[in-house]
Amino acid sequence: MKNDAAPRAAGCSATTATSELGAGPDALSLRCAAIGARLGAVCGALLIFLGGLYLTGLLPSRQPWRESFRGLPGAPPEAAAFSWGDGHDLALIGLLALQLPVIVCLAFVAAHGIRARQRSLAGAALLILLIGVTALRGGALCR
Amino acid sequence: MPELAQMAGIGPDGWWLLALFGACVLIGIVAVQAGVGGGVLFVPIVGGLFPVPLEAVRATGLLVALASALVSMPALLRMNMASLRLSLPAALVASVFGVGGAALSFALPARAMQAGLGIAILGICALFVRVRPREGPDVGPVRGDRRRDISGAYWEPSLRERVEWTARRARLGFSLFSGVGLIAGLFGLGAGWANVPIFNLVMGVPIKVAVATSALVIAFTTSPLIWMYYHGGALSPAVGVPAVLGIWVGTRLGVRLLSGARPKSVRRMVIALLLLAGVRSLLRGLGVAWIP
Repeated sequence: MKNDAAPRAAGCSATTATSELGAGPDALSLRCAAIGARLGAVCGALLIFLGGLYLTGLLPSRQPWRESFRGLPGAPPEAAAFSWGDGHDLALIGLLALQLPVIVCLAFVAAHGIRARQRSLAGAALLILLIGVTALRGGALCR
Repeated sequence: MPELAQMAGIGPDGWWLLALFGACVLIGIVAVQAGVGGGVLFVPIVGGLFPVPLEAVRATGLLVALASALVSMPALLRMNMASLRLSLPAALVASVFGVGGAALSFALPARAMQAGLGIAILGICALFVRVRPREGPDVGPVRGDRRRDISGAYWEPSLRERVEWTARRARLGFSLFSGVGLIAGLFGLGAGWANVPIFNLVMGVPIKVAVATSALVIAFTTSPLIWMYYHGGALSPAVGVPAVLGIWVGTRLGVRLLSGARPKSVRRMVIALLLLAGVRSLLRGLGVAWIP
């Protein structure tokens, strides 16, 4: 509550007031915040829905959750073909989708950096995305 | 307990699931009040108390760290506390070494990982006990080329003024993130416990900016690591779904309960818990027979 005391006294929102004082977020940060909030909410809802289908057993699953508390969690994904009707696979998608806000935010930062000719910003964001793609494609290191 | 489980019709494994959700709600509440990340509490506590393999606990630890960071990221960016420009180089270094750490974790024997986790947790405990954060920015002289400085400003309501900061010792600071990334990848511990002291004490960034930017670094770093654990077959929805949902609920409850909290006593409790979990994990790794 204390946070917004000064800006509210001036009759405006915290963001507007701090922006006027030169301490507010730039357009890039605001855009990333919006992306994070919206996609975060979507991913949360997706996780509740898909995770719920798996844990309640409404969808058949090649790997029921009860087995997870008895032994190794799961074979590598290549061991069985992915199926859109499998509860386990869909719940896994729900978990992996949590990365979506981060990926979209990084892509947006990279695009902004390229447009604004901020090479270090664009380079760092693109390299992190590249590491992600390498980890996605090159996870064979773990097998 | 088994009779109770049968009466409820969910079986003994169902109780584990509910207990995991409940434990994660508590971890979320305590983490907010103690000012630590969820991942650093999740791995030692769930790894010690639940019959879940360490690989699955480590993988879920990363998911928990990512979920906690996602909850706070938008608000921190809007308040201009979290700096994208400061977080990206740190996250880049941490990601490279984190992917290496995750790959290494699957190559090391289970007992070595258990002992290593114990040592890492005890090290984090020592860090929590010894490190005293600096509130304001470091205002000493800056050497070198100022054009490449990463700087920012935010509105500090307690002082009712704009606080300007500039990150110093960037090379040293960003190189330290290599070690942070390696440990995060190896043990799935998140990285807030190390990000904040590096930003604050090494790079001279105000503590509020350090904490907020750390959430961005965690989000950017854990994303590639999750793919490594996925390929290693360690990502389990049965553990991940209740853990992430529990942490979300706990974090939100923790924020609401924050006004009545006693951060010092909660922090002491967290340190005691981590100490116990660290010693236990180390002894298990060393093969001490009486450790279950």
